[in-house]
Amino acid sequence: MTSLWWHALFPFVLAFAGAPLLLGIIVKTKAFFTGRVGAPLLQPYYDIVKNLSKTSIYSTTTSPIFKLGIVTVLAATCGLLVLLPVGKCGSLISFEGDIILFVMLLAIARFALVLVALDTGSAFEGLGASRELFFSALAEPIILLSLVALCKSGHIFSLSAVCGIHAPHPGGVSLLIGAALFVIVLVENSRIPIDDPTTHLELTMIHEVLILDCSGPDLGLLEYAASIKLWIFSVIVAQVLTPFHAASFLGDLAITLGGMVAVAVTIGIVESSMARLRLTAIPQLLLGAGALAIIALLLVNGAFA
Amino acid sequence: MNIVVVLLFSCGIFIVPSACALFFRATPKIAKNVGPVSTILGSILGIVVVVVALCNPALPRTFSIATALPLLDMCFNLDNLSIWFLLPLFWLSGSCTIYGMGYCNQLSSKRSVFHWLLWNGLVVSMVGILIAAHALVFLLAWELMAITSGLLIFAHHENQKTRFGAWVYLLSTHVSAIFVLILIVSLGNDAHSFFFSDMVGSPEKSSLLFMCALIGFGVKAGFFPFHVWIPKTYPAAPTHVTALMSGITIKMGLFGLLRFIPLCGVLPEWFGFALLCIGAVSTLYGILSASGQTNILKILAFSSVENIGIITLGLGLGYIGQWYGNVALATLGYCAALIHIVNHSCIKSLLFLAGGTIVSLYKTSNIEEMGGLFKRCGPLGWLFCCGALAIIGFPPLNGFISESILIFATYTGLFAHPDSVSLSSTLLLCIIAIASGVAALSFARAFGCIFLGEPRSAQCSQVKTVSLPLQSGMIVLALGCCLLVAIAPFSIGLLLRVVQDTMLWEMSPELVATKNSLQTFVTALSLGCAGFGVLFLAFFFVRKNAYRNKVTGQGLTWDCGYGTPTQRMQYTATSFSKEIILLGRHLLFLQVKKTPVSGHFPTQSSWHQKIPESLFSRVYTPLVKNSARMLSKLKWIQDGRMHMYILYIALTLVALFIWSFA
Amino acid sequence: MTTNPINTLIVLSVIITLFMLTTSRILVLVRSAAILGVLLGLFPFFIHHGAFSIHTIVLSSLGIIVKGVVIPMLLFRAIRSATNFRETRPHVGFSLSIVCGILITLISFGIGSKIPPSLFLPSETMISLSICITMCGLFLIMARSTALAQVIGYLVLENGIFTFGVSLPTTQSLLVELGILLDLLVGVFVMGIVIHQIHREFDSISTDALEALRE
Repeated sequence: MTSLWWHALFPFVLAFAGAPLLLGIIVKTKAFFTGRVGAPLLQPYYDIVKNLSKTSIYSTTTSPIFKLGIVTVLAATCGLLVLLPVGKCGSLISFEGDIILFVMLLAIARFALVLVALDTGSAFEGLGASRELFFSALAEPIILLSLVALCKSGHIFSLSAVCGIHAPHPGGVSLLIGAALFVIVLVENSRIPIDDPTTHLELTMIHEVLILDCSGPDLGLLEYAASIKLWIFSVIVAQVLTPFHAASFLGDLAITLGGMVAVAVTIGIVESSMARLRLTAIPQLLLGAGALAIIALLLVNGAFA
Repeated sequence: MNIVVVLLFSCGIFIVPSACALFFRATPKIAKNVGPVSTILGSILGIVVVVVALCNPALPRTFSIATALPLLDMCFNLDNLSIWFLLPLFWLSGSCTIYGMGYCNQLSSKRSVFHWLLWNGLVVSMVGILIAAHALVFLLAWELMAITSGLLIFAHHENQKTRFGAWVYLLSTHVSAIFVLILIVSLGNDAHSFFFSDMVGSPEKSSLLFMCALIGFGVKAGFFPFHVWIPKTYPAAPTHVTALMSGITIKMGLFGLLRFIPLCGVLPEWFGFALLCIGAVSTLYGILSASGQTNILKILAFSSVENIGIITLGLGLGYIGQWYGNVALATLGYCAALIHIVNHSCIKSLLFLAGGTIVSLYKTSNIEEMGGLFKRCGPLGWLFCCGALAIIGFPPLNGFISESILIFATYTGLFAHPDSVSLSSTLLLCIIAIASGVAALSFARAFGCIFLGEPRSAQCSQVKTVSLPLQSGMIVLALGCCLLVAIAPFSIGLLLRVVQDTMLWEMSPELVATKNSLQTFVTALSLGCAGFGVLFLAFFFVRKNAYRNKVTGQGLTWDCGYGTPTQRMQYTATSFSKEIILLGRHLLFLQVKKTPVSGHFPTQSSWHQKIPESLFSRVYTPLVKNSARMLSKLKWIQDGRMHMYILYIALTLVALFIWSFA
Repeated sequence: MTTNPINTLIVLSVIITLFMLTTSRILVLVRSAAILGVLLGLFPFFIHHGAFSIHTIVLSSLGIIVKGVVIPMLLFRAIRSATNFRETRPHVGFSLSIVCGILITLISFGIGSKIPPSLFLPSETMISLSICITMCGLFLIMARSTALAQVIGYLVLENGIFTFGVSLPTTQSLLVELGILLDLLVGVFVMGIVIHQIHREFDSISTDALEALRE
């Protein structure tokens, strides 16, 4: 069955529509484990709509970088979505070497957010910015290595290797990279045990503190971008860990969506069952994930053949 | 029309008017401006000549002037490799000169005339290095480059730090010259000719040749064990001199490597791996050091070490590919190196010009005392931001293209045989990714501390704007950074020809296949950059739409309920990079002096960190001091009496007679 | 590719070995050592492609029992007797240890690929694995200061040697038996005598205290 170009529009549109839902699922899962009813599943949507309808107050310290930084975050996140392949639907744009663009767009979104934070001159935001960049400097090699390992096993230097339709990933590789990327999901989306999105202490936050001085539509757009990022990473993890494909592209999409819900629930379970890690332990966790990615790459390389 | 003649004529435009300016004492205003104007004209002519040469490959490209001196034929050849380096050279010399015109307003007329003469001499010497077809011409130009750039650094010789920096530079550049001399003499001796076209290294000498090339050109390029002069010299020199040196002068070392690698014959297998090791260590060490510095010029200097490391990684991959007959890997490796050379020269000059401007605005180079410059001096902020984004390797700027090609080369290396290549590629991938992450950190830190937030000291709240010539010099370079992304897809053909000519490869189907895949790769990346720009514009309007009919307010930054926040309470540059520095403390030999927080009511606590330049203070300084002490015992030879000198000459003559007749 | 159980075992062994470099808790370290022992003990079953000789079965079960049960039990007892010292106290930080572990893995697979495969029965990967485990063991001994952690390091090292022996053709498997003997030696010698002595003498099981004994 050939895939038509408009098939790729499906997941693209779906991402814009459904991204905040994943956050809702995580929150619901956490509520379930603490025995509460919890906020409604659509609460993230309400929050975003509420923020968009408000207006903003800008710090007198800020410069044009503040506003353009927010635009850059949005543009880069959207760029990631354009490159992201979903099962048989494929991606809107795909070319040899798009994984480098993908990794770099990820980095530039992060960098822009950090500049937004630094522009306010707040000490808390400086602290958060420093941590964000520190962890991402360690996370970047893991993302690159994992994606390259997938590319190598699929013999195609493109993100479309992630969905494994050209050549299904060997089981061991899938597991190792899935584990490594799951750690990355936690790091990149600022979840427990790396960061606590619900804390109310500025000193302990990473992502939340970066957007401390954003308000109104800016805040809403950034929250939306963050949820899209979570969507993107759960798509990747879900596809790495689901080795089977349905015959039709809609079925394939359904499998991936199911996998994503599973990823979100798992995040919820991890958040309910773990405390935030000590700051010094996070590099160890990341290096551990890096070791997994390297072993996966060795495995693909045929070192264990 | 011989293209080389026109090129030499443009060299004449550089030199002759600025030399004549020495005699225009009466009209200082004209004399002052003759030099820079001739540089700009010469650069424009140079670019035109090179472009014409590119469009008409049929034009004769060799030229020689017979001289009366034995062995020394002034022979020039404009090959593709020279063209590849000449373009950034002329571009940089032009734009740095525009900047320098603003700078030289403060100098006295006499000084400024000398300055421009030396400056033009430096540019011409580099042209000479690039188009030399004869090893002795190369050597002559090499020495001229060393002397002119050394003297240029001495510009503010009243300052002790400047003198020290210049001495370190002169010393290292002469160490480099000695090894280049040995290399050239040894090659020339074997070939009985000093024409590059005749030279072929003998296999039994390959280790010697390899060491000489590595040290001689490595000191100039400034990769890891030989980088020590870079952080000492760059902050000492005038801004536009640093920009030109960091942009293109140090690339002459890499040019030398590229020129001589094929001439040295079959180098040992481990040469490629040695390059990889050197590149890896330079990359990591350079960027980690950069993230720990608080002097903006040193941040940029160490970032140069990192980028030279990245280029060396490309060369190493290329050489390994060549050794194992893996055409794809070899081509991609060399291409990554070559493209990054051009990109980095543009970016780093821009950054150094911006950095120098910042230092002159603030009267300090310590970023801990800066802040809030963006609101006061927006254009400078945009220019620095452009340079920072480009050097980290972010789309849509040129650093992204070269970094991507390097990653592509590494990916190709993963498939290569033997396993040692694929394993080192794995490691390389980690190193490149980490380096790019840390580069993001250190440039976010630099940009944030200098431009964002509030001024950290009273002095920097009264910063003036930047004058037009200073700005326009930087704008030309920033345009170059954008332009290089757009023309990258069209330069692949030239790039491949450069690699092919330099490495003396035959055209093969594999090479064509590699070229095609590289072509689509780079085109896609460029289009991707454009796409990102489009998305940026789209979201710009989306955001604007979200604010339609809304009145925004202004307030203070959220201060967490604390009533009287001060500017001193902003996060500092040292704290910003503390974690990453602590993670890399073993590589940096970090020294920390701290008074930790203790007790329930902690009083004073402090944290002082220092990244010692251990290699400089522990290895090179004792080496130089001890050899100076030992060599001073030979001082009796120079005893000041003419008779003795005549005696030496006579003795030398006799010795030569005996040697030649024995 | 990974359906081959040997490869799965190899990957798991490498992961556990690397994990041992990162953990700060002695108890976890002992457990991982036990798991590693069991994993390696399983190798002989798969290497000979199901052609189980009595020799193989005895050898493997013995290895599993000694490394997976006996030695961990002895170690747990030793930990109970020295209750205050449950952390491994690194000389080399945990983050750096992981980096070193990754480097060791890469280097050993580089070395392993250079060895002509014909010399060994199953695959050259086994050799790489044995080099990797041996070096990680050495690293543990160097990088940790408590005697218990060092003992475990020694155990890991011995595991590496065992792997090397397993990967040789059966005719040379004398080495394997030797390895197991070495195991027993470690267990008896170290548990019974050394730790107890150190603990009694210095009130600590950090071997750094032994430096007081030098001239």
